Amino acid sequence: MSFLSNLFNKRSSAPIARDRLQILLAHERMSVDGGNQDDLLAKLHREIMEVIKRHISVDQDKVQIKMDRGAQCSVLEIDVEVPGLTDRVAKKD
Amino acid sequence: MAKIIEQLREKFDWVICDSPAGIERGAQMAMHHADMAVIVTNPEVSSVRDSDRIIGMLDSTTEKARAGEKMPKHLLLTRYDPQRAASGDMLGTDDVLEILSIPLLGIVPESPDVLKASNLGAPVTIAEPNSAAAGAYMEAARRLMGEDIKITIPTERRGLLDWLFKWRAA
Repeated sequence: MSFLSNLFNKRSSAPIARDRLQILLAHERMSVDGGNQDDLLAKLHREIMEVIKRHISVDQDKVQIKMDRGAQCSVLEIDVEVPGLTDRVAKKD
Repeated sequence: MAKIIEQLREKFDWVICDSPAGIERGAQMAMHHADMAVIVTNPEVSSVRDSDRIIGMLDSTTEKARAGEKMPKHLLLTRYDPQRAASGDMLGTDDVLEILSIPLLGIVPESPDVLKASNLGAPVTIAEPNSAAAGAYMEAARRLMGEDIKITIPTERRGLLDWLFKWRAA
Protein backbone atom coordinates (compact mmCIF):
# COMPACT_ATOMS: atom_id res chain seq x y z
CA MET A 1 0.00 0.00 0.00
CA SER A 2 2.76 2.41 0.82
CA PHE A 3 4.14 1.68 -2.63
CA LEU A 4 0.81 2.71 -4.17
CA SER A 5 0.46 5.82 -2.11
CA ASN A 6 4.00 6.74 -3.13
CA LEU A 7 2.98 6.42 -6.74
CA PHE A 8 -0.05 8.63 -6.49
CA ASN A 9 0.99 11.02 -3.81
CA LYS A 10 3.17 13.46 -5.70
CA ARG A 11 2.86 16.53 -3.52
CA SER A 12 6.29 18.04 -3.26
CA SER A 13 7.29 19.73 -0.06
CA ALA A 14 10.00 22.11 -1.27
CA PRO A 15 7.60 24.82 -2.54
CA ILE A 16 5.86 24.74 0.84
CA ALA A 17 9.21 25.08 2.60
CA ARG A 18 10.05 28.05 0.39
CA ASP A 19 6.73 29.75 1.11
CA ARG A 20 7.08 29.15 4.83
CA LEU A 21 10.56 30.64 4.78
CA GLN A 22 9.51 33.67 2.81
CA ILE A 23 6.67 34.47 5.18
CA LEU A 24 8.84 33.81 8.23
CA LEU A 25 11.74 35.94 7.02
CA ALA A 26 9.56 38.76 5.73
CA HIS A 27 8.13 39.01 9.22
CA GLU A 28 11.46 38.72 11.02
CA ARG A 29 13.29 41.17 8.78
CA MET A 30 10.50 43.70 9.24
CA SER A 31 10.40 43.40 12.98
CA VAL A 32 14.14 43.23 13.58
CA ASP A 33 15.93 45.47 11.15
CA GLY A 34 13.54 47.96 9.64
CA GLY A 35 15.90 50.81 8.81
CA ASN A 36 17.11 52.83 11.77
CA GLN A 37 14.99 50.71 14.05
CA ASP A 38 18.09 48.63 14.64
CA ASP A 39 19.82 51.36 16.62
CA LEU A 40 16.69 52.08 18.57
CA LEU A 41 16.12 48.45 19.43
CA ALA A 42 19.76 47.95 20.43
CA LYS A 43 19.54 50.97 22.70
CA LEU A 44 16.28 49.82 24.21
CA HIS A 45 17.73 46.36 24.71
CA ARG A 46 20.76 47.74 26.53
CA GLU A 47 18.83 50.03 28.80
CA ILE A 48 16.13 47.49 29.60
CA MET A 49 18.88 44.99 30.45
CA GLU A 50 20.42 47.49 32.85
CA VAL A 51 17.14 47.93 34.70
CA ILE A 52 16.44 44.21 34.89
CA LYS A 53 19.97 43.40 36.01
CA ARG A 54 19.53 45.60 39.08
CA HIS A 55 16.92 43.17 40.35
CA ILE A 56 17.23 39.83 38.62
CA SER A 57 20.17 38.15 36.95
CA VAL A 58 19.14 37.27 33.40
CA ASP A 59 21.10 36.21 30.40
CA GLN A 60 21.53 38.78 27.66
CA ASP A 61 20.01 36.38 25.14
CA LYS A 62 16.91 35.89 27.23
CA VAL A 63 15.66 39.40 26.54
CA GLN A 64 14.05 39.76 23.14
CA ILE A 65 12.77 43.05 21.84
CA LYS A 66 10.71 43.38 18.70
CA MET A 67 8.94 46.25 17.10
CA ASP A 68 6.14 45.89 14.60
CA ARG A 69 5.17 49.06 12.85
CA GLY A 70 1.68 49.03 11.38
CA ALA A 71 -0.42 51.69 9.71
CA GLN A 72 -2.89 51.87 12.58
CA CYS A 73 -0.68 51.11 15.54
CA SER A 74 2.80 49.89 16.35
CA VAL A 75 3.63 47.28 18.90
CA LEU A 76 6.76 47.12 20.99
CA GLU A 77 7.15 43.59 22.24
CA ILE A 78 9.54 42.90 25.11
CA ASP A 79 10.02 39.28 25.99
CA VAL A 80 12.04 38.60 29.11
CA GLU A 81 12.73 35.04 30.11
CA VAL A 82 13.23 35.02 33.85
CA PRO A 83 15.09 32.14 35.47
CA GLY A 84 12.84 29.56 37.17
CA LEU A 85 11.65 30.07 40.71
CA THR A 86 13.95 27.36 42.02
CA ASP A 87 17.01 29.07 40.52
CA ARG A 88 16.03 32.36 42.05
CA VAL A 89 15.45 30.92 45.51
CA ALA A 90 18.72 29.04 45.30
CA LYS A 91 20.58 32.20 44.40
CA LYS A 92 19.04 34.18 47.25
CA ASP A 93 20.15 31.69 49.88
CA MET B 1 39.47 36.81 21.99
CA ALA B 2 40.70 39.88 20.10
CA LYS B 3 44.18 39.35 21.56
CA ILE B 4 44.35 35.70 20.55
CA ILE B 5 43.18 36.48 17.04
CA GLU B 6 45.77 39.24 16.67
CA GLN B 7 48.52 36.82 17.71
CA LEU B 8 47.30 34.13 15.32
CA ARG B 9 46.93 36.64 12.53
CA GLU B 10 50.67 37.26 12.55
CA LYS B 11 51.52 33.58 12.20
CA PHE B 12 48.88 32.16 9.90
CA ASP B 13 47.35 32.99 6.54
CA TRP B 14 43.92 31.84 7.61
CA VAL B 15 42.37 31.71 11.05
CA ILE B 16 39.08 29.84 11.05
CA CYS B 17 36.69 30.42 13.93
CA ASP B 18 34.18 27.63 13.81
CA SER B 19 30.97 28.31 15.59
CA PRO B 20 28.24 26.16 17.07
CA ALA B 21 25.15 25.78 14.91
CA GLY B 22 22.42 28.28 15.53
CA ILE B 23 22.42 31.91 16.51
CA GLU B 24 23.43 31.72 20.14
CA ARG B 25 26.28 33.41 21.91
CA GLY B 26 28.89 31.02 20.54
CA ALA B 27 28.21 32.08 16.98
CA GLN B 28 28.27 35.74 17.94
CA MET B 29 31.62 35.30 19.68
CA ALA B 30 33.10 33.51 16.69
CA MET B 31 31.98 36.16 14.21
CA HIS B 32 32.83 39.21 16.26
CA HIS B 33 36.38 39.77 15.01
CA ALA B 34 35.96 38.18 11.60
CA ASP B 35 37.27 39.66 8.34
CA MET B 36 34.93 37.51 6.29
CA ALA B 37 32.24 34.97 6.94
CA VAL B 38 31.32 31.61 5.49
CA ILE B 39 27.73 30.79 6.32
CA VAL B 40 27.16 27.05 6.31
CA THR B 41 23.56 26.12 5.82
CA ASN B 42 21.42 23.07 5.04
CA PRO B 43 18.51 23.23 2.64
CA GLU B 44 16.08 23.18 5.57
CA VAL B 45 13.68 25.81 6.82
CA SER B 46 15.20 26.10 10.30
CA SER B 47 18.75 26.27 9.00
CA VAL B 48 18.04 28.89 6.33
CA ARG B 49 16.11 30.93 8.88
CA ASP B 50 19.04 30.94 11.29
CA SER B 51 21.39 31.82 8.46
CA ASP B 52 19.26 34.81 7.59
CA ARG B 53 19.50 36.04 11.18
CA ILE B 54 23.24 35.41 11.25
CA ILE B 55 23.63 37.46 8.08
CA GLY B 56 21.74 40.26 9.81
CA MET B 57 24.08 40.04 12.81
CA LEU B 58 27.18 39.96 10.60
CA ASP B 59 26.05 43.26 9.12
CA SER B 60 25.23 44.89 12.43
CA THR B 61 26.99 43.55 15.52
CA THR B 62 30.50 42.59 14.34
CA GLU B 63 33.51 44.84 14.79
CA LYS B 64 33.81 45.25 11.08
CA ALA B 65 30.19 46.35 10.75
CA ARG B 66 30.56 48.77 13.63
CA ALA B 67 33.56 50.32 11.91
CA GLY B 68 31.28 50.94 8.96
CA GLU B 69 32.92 48.34 6.74
CA LYS B 70 31.17 45.70 4.72
CA MET B 71 31.55 42.09 5.80
CA PRO B 72 32.23 39.77 2.84
CA LYS B 73 29.93 36.77 3.11
CA HIS B 74 29.87 33.39 1.37
CA LEU B 75 27.29 30.67 1.43
CA LEU B 76 28.27 27.02 1.73
CA LEU B 77 25.29 24.78 1.16
CA THR B 78 25.80 21.38 2.79
CA ARG B 79 23.90 18.10 2.99
CA TYR B 80 22.46 18.80 -0.42
CA ASP B 81 20.66 15.89 -2.05
CA PRO B 82 20.30 16.58 -5.78
CA GLN B 83 17.77 13.79 -6.23
CA ARG B 84 15.46 15.05 -3.53
CA ALA B 85 15.83 18.59 -4.77
CA ALA B 86 14.93 17.44 -8.28
CA SER B 87 11.88 15.57 -7.03
CA GLY B 88 10.75 18.67 -5.17
CA ASP B 89 11.29 17.42 -1.66
CA MET B 90 14.23 19.63 -0.80
CA LEU B 91 14.81 23.34 -1.20
CA GLY B 92 16.87 23.90 -4.33
CA THR B 93 20.07 25.91 -4.57
CA ASP B 94 18.19 28.68 -6.34
CA ASP B 95 15.61 28.87 -3.57
CA VAL B 96 18.23 29.22 -0.86
CA LEU B 97 20.28 31.73 -2.84
CA GLU B 98 17.25 33.81 -3.64
CA ILE B 99 16.19 33.93 -0.02
CA LEU B 100 19.61 34.68 1.49
CA SER B 101 21.03 36.65 -1.46
CA ILE B 102 24.73 36.17 -0.73
CA PRO B 103 27.26 34.62 -3.15
CA LEU B 104 27.55 30.86 -3.26
CA LEU B 105 30.89 29.34 -2.26
CA GLY B 106 30.03 25.72 -2.86
CA ILE B 107 27.53 22.89 -2.63
CA VAL B 108 28.44 19.86 -0.54
CA PRO B 109 26.35 16.79 -1.31
CA GLU B 110 24.76 14.72 1.44
CA SER B 111 27.13 11.83 1.92
CA PRO B 112 27.52 8.94 4.35
CA ASP B 113 31.28 9.59 4.19
CA VAL B 114 30.85 12.69 6.33
CA LEU B 115 29.47 10.76 9.27
CA LYS B 116 32.09 8.06 8.76
CA ALA B 117 34.87 10.66 8.88
CA SER B 118 33.30 12.33 11.89
CA ASN B 119 33.19 8.98 13.68
CA LEU B 120 36.91 8.63 13.02
CA GLY B 121 37.54 12.13 14.30
CA ALA B 122 38.92 13.42 11.02
CA PRO B 123 37.68 15.88 8.43
CA VAL B 124 36.07 14.19 5.43
CA THR B 125 38.76 15.72 3.21
CA ILE B 126 41.35 13.61 5.03
CA ALA B 127 39.42 10.49 6.01
CA GLU B 128 37.60 10.08 2.68
CA PRO B 129 39.53 12.29 0.25
CA ASN B 130 37.98 10.72 -2.83
CA SER B 131 34.38 11.21 -1.78
CA ALA B 132 32.11 13.72 -3.51
CA ALA B 133 31.78 15.66 -0.25
CA ALA B 134 35.54 15.97 0.17
CA GLY B 135 35.89 17.19 -3.41
CA ALA B 136 33.23 19.81 -2.84
CA TYR B 137 34.96 21.06 0.33
CA MET B 138 38.33 21.24 -1.40
CA GLU B 139 36.87 23.23 -4.27
CA ALA B 140 35.07 25.56 -1.89
CA ALA B 141 38.32 26.20 -0.04
CA ARG B 142 40.10 27.00 -3.28
CA ARG B 143 37.33 29.37 -4.30
CA LEU B 144 37.67 31.12 -0.96
CA MET B 145 41.35 31.60 -1.74
CA GLY B 146 40.41 33.31 -4.95
CA GLU B 147 40.60 30.56 -7.52
CA ASP B 148 37.97 30.65 -10.21
CA ILE B 149 36.39 27.21 -10.25
CA LYS B 150 32.95 26.66 -11.69
CA ILE B 151 30.39 25.54 -9.13
CA THR B 152 28.73 22.32 -10.13
CA ILE B 153 25.79 20.74 -8.42
CA PRO B 154 27.25 17.42 -7.34
CA THR B 155 25.46 14.26 -8.32
CA GLU B 156 26.27 10.81 -7.11
CA ARG B 157 26.86 8.25 -9.83
CA ARG B 158 23.73 6.18 -10.27
CA GLY B 159 23.47 2.46 -10.85
CA LEU B 160 20.89 0.82 -13.07
CA LEU B 161 18.73 0.01 -10.06
CA ASP B 162 18.65 3.64 -8.95
CA TRP B 163 17.77 4.63 -12.44
CA LEU B 164 14.82 2.25 -12.54
CA PHE B 165 13.77 3.43 -9.11
CA LYS B 166 13.80 7.00 -10.31
CA TRP B 167 11.34 6.13 -13.05
CA ARG B 168 8.99 4.64 -10.53
CA ALA B 169 9.26 7.61 -8.21
CA ALA B 170 8.70 10.11 -11.00
